[in-house]
Amino acid sequence: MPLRCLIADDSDHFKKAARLFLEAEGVAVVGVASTIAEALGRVGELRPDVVLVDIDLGGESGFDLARRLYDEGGGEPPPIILISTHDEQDFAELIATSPAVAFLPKPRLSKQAIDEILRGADA
Amino acid sequence: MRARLLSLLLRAGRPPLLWGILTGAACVAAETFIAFALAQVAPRNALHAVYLVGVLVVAFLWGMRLGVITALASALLYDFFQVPPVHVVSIFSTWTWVPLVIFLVVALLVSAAAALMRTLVVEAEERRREADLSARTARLLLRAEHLRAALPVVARRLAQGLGLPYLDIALGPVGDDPRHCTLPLTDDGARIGTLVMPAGLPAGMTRRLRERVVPSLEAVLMAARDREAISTALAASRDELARIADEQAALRRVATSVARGVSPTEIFGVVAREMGLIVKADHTAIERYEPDRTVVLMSSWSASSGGSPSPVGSRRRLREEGLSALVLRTGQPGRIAADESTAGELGRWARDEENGIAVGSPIAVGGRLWGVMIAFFRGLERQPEGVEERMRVFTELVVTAISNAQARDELAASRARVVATSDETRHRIERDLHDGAQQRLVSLGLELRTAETAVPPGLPELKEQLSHTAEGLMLVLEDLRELSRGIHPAILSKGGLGPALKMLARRSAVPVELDVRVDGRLPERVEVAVYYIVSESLTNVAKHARASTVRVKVDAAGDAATVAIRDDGVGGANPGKGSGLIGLIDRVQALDGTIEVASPPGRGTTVTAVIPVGNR
Repeated sequence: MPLRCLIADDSDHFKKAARLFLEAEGVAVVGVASTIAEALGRVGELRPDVVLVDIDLGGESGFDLARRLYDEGGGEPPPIILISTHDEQDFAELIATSPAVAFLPKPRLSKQAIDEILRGADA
Repeated sequence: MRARLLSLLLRAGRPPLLWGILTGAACVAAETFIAFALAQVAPRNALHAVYLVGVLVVAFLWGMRLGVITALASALLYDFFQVPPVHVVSIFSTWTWVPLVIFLVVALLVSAAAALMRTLVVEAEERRREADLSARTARLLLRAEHLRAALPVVARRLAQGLGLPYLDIALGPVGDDPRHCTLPLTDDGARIGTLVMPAGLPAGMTRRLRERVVPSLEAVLMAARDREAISTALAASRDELARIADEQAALRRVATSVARGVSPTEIFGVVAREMGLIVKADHTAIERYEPDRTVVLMSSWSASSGGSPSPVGSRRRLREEGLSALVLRTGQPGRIAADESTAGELGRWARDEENGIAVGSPIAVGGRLWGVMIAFFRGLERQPEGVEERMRVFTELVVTAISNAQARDELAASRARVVATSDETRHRIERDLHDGAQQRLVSLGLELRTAETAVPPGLPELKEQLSHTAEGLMLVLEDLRELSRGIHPAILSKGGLGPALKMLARRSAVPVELDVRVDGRLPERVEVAVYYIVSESLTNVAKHARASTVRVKVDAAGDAATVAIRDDGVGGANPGKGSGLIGLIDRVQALDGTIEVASPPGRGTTVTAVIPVGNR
């Protein structure tokens, strides 16, 4: 059974490109969202295995979404991976205090990278 | 005892006549007994000298007439008891009358001499008293602060000294009144006052007053008037000096404020206050004329804490009947009664007053009417004098301060605008890069790699080509990221100062001890300034200080953000040399803040900056 993934990002171009790429690699992108409210709804409804959250959600912050998914999502929240075109170095302090399991630079996005992160998180 | 006896002897009035007769009789009787006693030891013809004592005493005390009677009585008794034949009055019968007549003549002469002496002694005593009185009068009048107030006291003392029920000294003519008489007091023929005395005084006393009291009184009065005039002139010049000194002190305070480089708002505040104190106004205000016929309140001051003025910077329309419009129209100082219809001109606090006077003075800067200085005086009964002139003079002197303050105000505002615009632009470029080019490149990269997965296994070169292009895109992205990081720190807008400073500390080549106390978010301009101060300082430490640690402390819990960066390096840094530091100085000053660099050789470098946080 393929990994079920949800992408929260405000760029339609990226969501489309990422979905095509990840599905080509064998990840099931079960849903996408552009805002915090939308993402919270989708996650509750679809229960994905992993959520990819962009740090820049237009006027909103991906860190806030990660925090709220963790605090408000009923039951065990899915693992959250923060993504961004910025370097991890740029947000290291914020990433460290976030409940997200890891940060993944968008250019490095791949099924293999996600799998490694989730394996690391499980272990 | 001696004094009492003297005063008894010198009394101006004579003792009662009966006392005189009795004294005369007693003296003559006593002298007769003494003569009897002496007749045993002395030659008889010398005994008549004994009788001269009684004549002397009576003539001195009761005058010549009683003295003569005593002399006659003495002659008769002497004749009766001592001139032989004894117990016979022989003066008319024998030749013994010759010595008796001689005695009588001598007694009469003694009597006359005694009476004359008494007159002279009494007069001398009177003169002495008058001299005393005159000296006391002079002392009283010349010591008095105000001549008019001293006159009643002087008159009372004079009356006491002369034994009169009252005297009065007036500094002008006095109306006729049957109850009193007057004597004019003059100086070289010019009337300077009047001496008023009770009617019906003895002629001697009136003469005494006219001849002896009035001249000395006139002299003292003139001296006192001169003295008063000199005192008044001195007081006036002292007041003038005090006023000039006050103005100088006020100007010095204004100049000190300017030199200290306090904010223009504060300088206007100082000017309004000093002006208020100089002209003793209840309120003052400085207003600036705007081209659209409005005025802006630059500062205000109140002598009391009552009433709250409009806030500095508030703007209102010029009212045609108001003071500011009047000064604008004429270009001259002006004065209006600040009644209900015009008091609104002066702001809320003046409107609370029922009546008053408002004086306005134009402020011309560089030949142009820049604004108006307004002084408000409570209460119509206090018409302030000469205020316009003093305001005009003071205004001319502080105009330079005002125009400097104005220029600096504008410069600071424009510098703040430049810094703010530049920050906003950098932030926007960073966002545009991120949302536009970077985001699209990432998506393109993903699309390339999608394509790569779709390449049939039989075309390894194509796959290789696509992979290579995707890697190239990654490198472009790296470059862009580096570029955007230098333009604006993304973490600052995302996470605020705390995380941003931690990132700086983590990246620093020299280990950093970080101590950040910031409640929530600060205004963006302050966060950006603090970020750049720390960032630039850490760069300098890494480049020049040869330090082993650097301590960064940021405290923005209060009204201002305080930043201190202290290293343990070699010191000796010159703030003028590094262009980065000059940029920081501009940035901090644009925010009304201060920045200092202390770098003693061998003892490390400390950069300290304080930036007002303002309204969050």
